[in-house]
Amino acid sequence: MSTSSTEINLVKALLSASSVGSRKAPELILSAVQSILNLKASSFYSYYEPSKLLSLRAQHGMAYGSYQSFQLPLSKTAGRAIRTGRPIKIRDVRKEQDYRDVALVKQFGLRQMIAVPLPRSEEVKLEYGEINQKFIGVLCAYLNDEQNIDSVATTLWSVAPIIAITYQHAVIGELLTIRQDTMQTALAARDVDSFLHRLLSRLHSAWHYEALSAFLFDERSKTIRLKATTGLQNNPKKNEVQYRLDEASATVRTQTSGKSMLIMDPDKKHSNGKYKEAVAGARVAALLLPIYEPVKMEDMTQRCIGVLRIVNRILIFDSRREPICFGWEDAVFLQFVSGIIGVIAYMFGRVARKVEDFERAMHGAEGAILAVRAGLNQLMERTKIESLIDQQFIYVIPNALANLAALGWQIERFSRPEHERKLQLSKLTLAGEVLSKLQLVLQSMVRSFGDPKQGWRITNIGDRFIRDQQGGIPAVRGDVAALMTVFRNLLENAVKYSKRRSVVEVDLSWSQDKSFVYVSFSDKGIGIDDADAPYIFLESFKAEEAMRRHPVGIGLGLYQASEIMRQLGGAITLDHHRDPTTFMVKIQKWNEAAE
Amino acid sequence: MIYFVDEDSTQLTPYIVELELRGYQVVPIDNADDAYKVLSGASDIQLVILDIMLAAGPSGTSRFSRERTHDFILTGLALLEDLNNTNAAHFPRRVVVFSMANQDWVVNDIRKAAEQYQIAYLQKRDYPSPFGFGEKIAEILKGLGS
Repeated sequence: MSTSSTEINLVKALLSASSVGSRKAPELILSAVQSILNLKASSFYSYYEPSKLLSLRAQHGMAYGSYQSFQLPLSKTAGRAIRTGRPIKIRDVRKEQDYRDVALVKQFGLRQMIAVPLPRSEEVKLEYGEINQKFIGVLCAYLNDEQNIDSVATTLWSVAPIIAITYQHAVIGELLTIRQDTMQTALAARDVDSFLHRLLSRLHSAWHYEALSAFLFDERSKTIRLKATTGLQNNPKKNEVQYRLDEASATVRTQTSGKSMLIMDPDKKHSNGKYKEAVAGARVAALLLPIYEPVKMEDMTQRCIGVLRIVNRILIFDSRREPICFGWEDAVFLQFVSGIIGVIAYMFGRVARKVEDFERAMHGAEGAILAVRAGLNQLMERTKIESLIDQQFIYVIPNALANLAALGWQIERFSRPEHERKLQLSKLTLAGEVLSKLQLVLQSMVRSFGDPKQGWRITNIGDRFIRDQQGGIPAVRGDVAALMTVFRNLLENAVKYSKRRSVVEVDLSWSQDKSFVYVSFSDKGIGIDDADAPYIFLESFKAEEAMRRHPVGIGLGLYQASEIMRQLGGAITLDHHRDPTTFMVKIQKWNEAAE
Repeated sequence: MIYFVDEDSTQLTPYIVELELRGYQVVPIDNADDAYKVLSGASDIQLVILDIMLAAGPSGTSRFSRERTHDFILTGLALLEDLNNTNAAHFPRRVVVFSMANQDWVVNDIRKAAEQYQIAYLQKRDYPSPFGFGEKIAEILKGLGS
């Protein structure tokens, strides 16, 4: 295969266009093509298959003001190149019925024209969009009268894949720019609402999308709620803008299906839409994109957490401004943006939950401190007190202090999570170093969180059992502090969610197989709802029944326990939901040979 | 009768004792659903001292949902709203909010409700002295004509 010097020169000139971003690249591409092929004029159109439209990206040698519209349907001459998948050669555009912009022909004396489809390169991996179309655009070349149309068409058709690759790389460059831009926006934001507000404003002003709204799914109310917008028609109150999941709406369909949706001429198709973005003129097209959380590494799943809605791309050439449909680059670009929004919204959400946990803990701590202060103040304020009353408030001080100490431990768990420190793995006697200490831990937990009159006991593995059976439980591979945290969290739950006025009773037993020791931990508390069971080990989850019993205080206990066990090469599972509630803690046996 | 609706009545013992020393009969209630049951039909209410972050009964039997109470941070306000509808003779007039809330949005919501219902909003941290608290309650009761 031989390569002509014209093609080599063109490739060299195109290289510089691949690194300037998709907004400037079309002009540089046309500039390179036009100078090397000595053309009279040229134009570059982007094609987006779902819309069946070509959108002007740049032109050379003509005037933007002479275009009838910056968008072309496939029925026109340039569109025929996409339909046939071959270059279209027109010897005299004046006689061409499908040629739309007759004003250009007259004004610039155009005659010979070649429309070359630009085949998408599968070697350029965008990874951000579902762009499966065969062609990404059309290059229209207008020749000087003396040029040989067949020869130029052959050259253009041979370099069309290179032009396409150049432009695809330029689009990737644009993604890097918006990523940087979005990160800076996130760093300057105080919460997810202000981040989205700033980002949408930026997409509107700097990237020329006419109107945008971002919705996030609210787990609590099971509604899709507006978080930010460049403006909605009729200015509804932001807090009231929401969709229920059973509503017939494109936004709801995007959220529930997790798939993007392009709606052409949305005012006709969704004339009775509940909320519409405010735009200056017609709503040409709306793009609805799902917003996903980052992929969970444990099971590689990804949850849709909201919807990004965009109405109209604005093209501005010279002084002319026109709302048009989106191009494939917009779809890729905006899907990339929605991906970043997903990550940042997830991070803001995690921080917000931690702050809320912290505030709940502080609320409890302040209550305990106040009780101590009040008790001491009362001692000073009331000198003559009946003995019965005296006993009551003397009692409250140690109780409150115990509560305060436990809350301090919770705050420490929150700020320096056990599962995030490096574990010290060694050979442990599970009975002696961990299980035998649980009696005392339970006693302290009852004092901190339980009813003062509540009894407590650990059955099956009690003191005597430990003493007699110590040799029976095999040594395990673990970290004493981490394993204590696991059992401490289970004991805390057993006390906090025990049935009222009942004895806190924990039953411990053990079994083994070749590689693991299994400790079964059962309590007779309020149990775990079947609906909650699949989620109890998730970081973000706080069971409703637990919150009902104790609005004050921090969750995280079971999440932390499961993280620790995972790092220890074991596991914790819920074996029985209630009566009794049974957790199974699976711990690796110590293997002398392997160590 | 003074009803003290607070999740942790043990920690409030000094306040309850203070009120009892002043001759009031005090009934502690530690759960919003129990409070609704007792107070919706009660006719002997001198005053209800109401916390806002309140525990609730089990779902299914409870009248308070996590949506309505914002994960049980605002249970007390939902309880107050329900009592206004069922026992208008005493509510909201005979209510004093006594809360430890420190988050801005929670404090704002409580303030708005207190203004709307024209009831007192006492912040717990302002009353480390049970005696001072007793004086304030006596003053409020005097204002109510009790």
